Amino acid sequence: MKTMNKSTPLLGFASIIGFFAFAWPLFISAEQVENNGQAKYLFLALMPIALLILVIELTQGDLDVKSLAFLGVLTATGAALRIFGAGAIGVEPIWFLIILGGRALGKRFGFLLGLSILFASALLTGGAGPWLAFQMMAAAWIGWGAGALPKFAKQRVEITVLAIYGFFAGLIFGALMDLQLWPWLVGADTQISFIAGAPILENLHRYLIFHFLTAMAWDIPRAILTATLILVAGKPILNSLRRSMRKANFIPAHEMKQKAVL
Amino acid sequence: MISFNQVSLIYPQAQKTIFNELTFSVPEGELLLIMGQTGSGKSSLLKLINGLVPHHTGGILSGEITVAGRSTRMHRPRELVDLIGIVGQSPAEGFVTDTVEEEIAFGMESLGIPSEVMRKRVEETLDLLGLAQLRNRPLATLSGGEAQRVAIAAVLTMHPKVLLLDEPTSALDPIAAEEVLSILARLVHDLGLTIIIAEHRLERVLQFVDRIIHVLGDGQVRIGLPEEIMAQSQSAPPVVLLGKDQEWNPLPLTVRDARRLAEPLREKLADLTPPIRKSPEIKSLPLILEIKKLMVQYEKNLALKGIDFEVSQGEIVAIMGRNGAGKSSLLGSTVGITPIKSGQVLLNGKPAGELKGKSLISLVGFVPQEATDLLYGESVLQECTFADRDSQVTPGTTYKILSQLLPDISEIAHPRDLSEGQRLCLVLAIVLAAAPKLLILDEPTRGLDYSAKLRLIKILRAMADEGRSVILATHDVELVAEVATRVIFLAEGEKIADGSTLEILTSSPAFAPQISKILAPGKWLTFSEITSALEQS
Amino acid sequence: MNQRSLHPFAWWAWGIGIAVTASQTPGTLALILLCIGAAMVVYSKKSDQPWAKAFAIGVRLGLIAFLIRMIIGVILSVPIPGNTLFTLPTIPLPDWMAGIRIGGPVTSERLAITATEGLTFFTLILAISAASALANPKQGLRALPGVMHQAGVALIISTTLIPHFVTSIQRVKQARRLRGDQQRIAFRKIAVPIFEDSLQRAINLGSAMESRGYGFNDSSTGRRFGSQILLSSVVAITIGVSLFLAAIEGAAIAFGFGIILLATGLFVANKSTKRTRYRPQIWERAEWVVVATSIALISLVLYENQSIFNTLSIFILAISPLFVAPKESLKIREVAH
Repeated sequence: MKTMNKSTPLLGFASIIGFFAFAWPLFISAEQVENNGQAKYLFLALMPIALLILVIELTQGDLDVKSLAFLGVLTATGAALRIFGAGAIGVEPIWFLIILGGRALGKRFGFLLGLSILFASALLTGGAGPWLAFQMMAAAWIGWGAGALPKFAKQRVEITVLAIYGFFAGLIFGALMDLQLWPWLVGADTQISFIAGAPILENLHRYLIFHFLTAMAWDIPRAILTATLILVAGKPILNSLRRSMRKANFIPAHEMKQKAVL
Repeated sequence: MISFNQVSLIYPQAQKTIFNELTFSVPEGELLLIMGQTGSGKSSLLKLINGLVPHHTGGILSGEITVAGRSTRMHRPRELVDLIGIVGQSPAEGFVTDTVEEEIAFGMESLGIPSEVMRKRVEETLDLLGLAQLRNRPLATLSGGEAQRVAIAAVLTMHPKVLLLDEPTSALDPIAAEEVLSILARLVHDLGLTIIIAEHRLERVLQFVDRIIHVLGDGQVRIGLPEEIMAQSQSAPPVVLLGKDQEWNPLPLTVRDARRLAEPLREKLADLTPPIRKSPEIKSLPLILEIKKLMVQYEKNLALKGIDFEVSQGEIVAIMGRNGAGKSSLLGSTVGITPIKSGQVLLNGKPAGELKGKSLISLVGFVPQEATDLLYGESVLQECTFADRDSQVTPGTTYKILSQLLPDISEIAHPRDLSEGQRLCLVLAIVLAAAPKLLILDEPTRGLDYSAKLRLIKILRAMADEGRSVILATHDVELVAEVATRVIFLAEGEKIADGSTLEILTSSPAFAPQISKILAPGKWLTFSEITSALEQS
Repeated sequence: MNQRSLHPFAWWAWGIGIAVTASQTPGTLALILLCIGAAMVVYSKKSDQPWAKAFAIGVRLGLIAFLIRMIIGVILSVPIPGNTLFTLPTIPLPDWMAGIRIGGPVTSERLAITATEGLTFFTLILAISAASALANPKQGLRALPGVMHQAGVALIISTTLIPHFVTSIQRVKQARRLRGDQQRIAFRKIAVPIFEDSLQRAINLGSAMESRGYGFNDSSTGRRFGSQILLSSVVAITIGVSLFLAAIEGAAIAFGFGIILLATGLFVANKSTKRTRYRPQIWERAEWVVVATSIALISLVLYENQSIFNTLSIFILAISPLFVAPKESLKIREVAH
């Protein structure tokens, strides 16, 4: 008996803008070829605007005090894991956190969690660059997706599915980030540049070669790490997330509109 | 000011009736104490008053609670801020911003109070609570007592008529606790605030309160003057226990009252000698811990400036001193978690830093201040299984120890859902599974009520009787008086006193236990010493 | 409190000004001067707070991006006619990469174009990281308009708590030693206590905020209206994107429309919040000067005039904060207890 949340259409449209901000080289028509230079900057500017609108909508309307507290605290945990992670635990265990957070607290919360973790850690640790808005959007999608996966009767199945999801999320995040850098890193006139107006598949092929040559080697360890962490610690963490939500009598207002009547 | 009319509260998940048809009222300008065992519902009672229960936590409420005529049923806690301020059990966890001044203004910003008014109220409140010098300090650097005061200031700016505090002094050292309590007393007397505190360190607060609400744990409460409630209560500070035993009338609540009445007892005890504390022949027993010229440094601060001492088998050594005196650094160095700058820490003759795994935990068991850091299981039983594996003992060992400490514990309970006292027992059981020769406890009585404390005392004595040693760092003078065979005093990273419990505790007025203050110059420390001495005579 | 730092939004205006200038291809010399200018401002005005490291990190990442750009440009380029500098041996590639040839002749024209493009991207990265190194994020969050307040509070909470969790991770690591645990990688044993700690904290924080009146003044009517305007704004921008990609006339109009709607939506939503602010961050002459020079910088470069006079003016405008911005003082020193 789920009703459509009023912020759903906005989330959808903003995500479309976000998607094109990543993937415009695949879709741009040949007539815009002179404007290539501009296109890069246009989409660089559009992504933060899409994020701004999303953040306002998602935090203004639905966020109650408990969600806010959970969001703030989990963001801090994620950012701390990220700072600390490099040495002790491996590479960036934040995906683990975003996926499990989104899973336990719902897709809209997952979306916000993705946004805020990337933002907070980038701002505080350095590493804020033109790509930050893109990272945030991609992370937000990953958190949303974890919450949007169907319910599973058995927890073992749930953890396995989440691990697989985490694996692909790790790959896709890398692919998206590289897609965003593609026009910047190869310009318009190499053999692995996109060709405006060419069929999508041809451009996709060129992109995959670029991706293979540059960043893919980094994505696979991340994907494996995320999946492994979910398999190892997913169950207790997911349970403790759910337990504290029960303890705090916390149903994220995003997810369910009826209030517990006392 | 506050009235309860036929109030019942049930937590459906726990299937437990917390309160059953309570009816009482609190007049304006009173300082009330809520006492009761852990888990009896002290915090729930506080949260009922400002509506956090059930608006925020769930639970089924019947009956009516009104504060200054406003019903908590109709108003969410956020709509009652101009009437009620509440400070939670760990105030630092409720901080939102990062400096003192911003934190104090935070609530007013939500209310939309004009900028100039905010400015004025912040200044007033800073002065009222003596926080002016701390105004720019990052909240993360505050001590426990300072954080407590900032949290009080942060709710006072909204000019409430009622102030609720959950365990305001439990985590504080005696001096910081004194500061907080005297501020509360001033707020009652000067501003006419109604203050209700839930607290189990009765010896600290008893002298300030007008009335007591005793939460009995069976859904009922008893309300009355401190003397009345204390006369009927099982758990009471030593001064009250002594008063009841001697049938003093009126029942004394403070050392001052008791001292006046104790004249005959002092004469009676003058001829008796206190039972000899079991202080083993230290020289003859093998040493378990040797610390030689230990120095510890954090960045530029010398935390320990050359400490020497030894602990031999069967000793219970208490380490005392103000916060920041170096207690935790000292304890940490004995298990190799505090990096040593120079000097030596030898456990059974071997350097502590080089020991690892089984060879470390079979020598020394350490219960840190944040004991829950050790827990990562999802149930009590799972936690015990992990512990068996870590300490390489036969499966079931840990659980057996635990069921001796806590006979009625549920093995499927989640470790984090246990009460503070139960959790301490669980961590103790885990640590004791490896049968360490030395047990170290950092602030074990934070959050423990009287009965849990009694249990801990029993455990520690039993350990010492088996020839094992214990070191504990604590602010709890009464606990030290009960169990310690020796006391070491630290100040600013130096050892300033080291001697028998009797000698050290009776020589310092600030750290003397209540009994010794009442019976000075007699050398008595605990209530049980007196009863057993009187029985024998 | 004797000295203050520039308002974080002014720093961002400055950084964005440089980024936009760089994006308009003002010429290689101007790009180099912009980088030098940004570095000068950062090194003379930065604090010793953790985010000040952002610039050094930005330089490193920018250099990596520049190098990748050069390498790809040299070995995978499409030949353009010109002055051949040297010829790389060509290497055949597997089938699925068919049609791509590694190596071949490298011309000086190719090198120049690649270097300029790489430098532009480098400058862009540098501009953003310079702004984030100089702008105090905590003050920035606090200065957000009412409509962003909730998001700001969530981030303020997290920035405040990050150090707490970093120490709590260290503590939990020590606790493993206390259990005699010698496993080297033990994510679960670290993660579980950390999460339990943080979730408990979230519960406590939520109830503390509730009982301190947080959310007292939230009204929903103005918000709902604002949210409808925001929705139409994203729709307009989405249309603009589609038109732009398909090279159909009218994209600019759609974008313009979207931006106007966005501004209106923000304004309406902002009016519905009744929060007040305690001691707001000061915005004074220095801030105005920085914003004004930033605007001047952008309008100058839009002239597309690469004269030496113009290039020098760009440099001088870019380093304007050097003359007006107070150096961030260390008023909030960590006080050890």
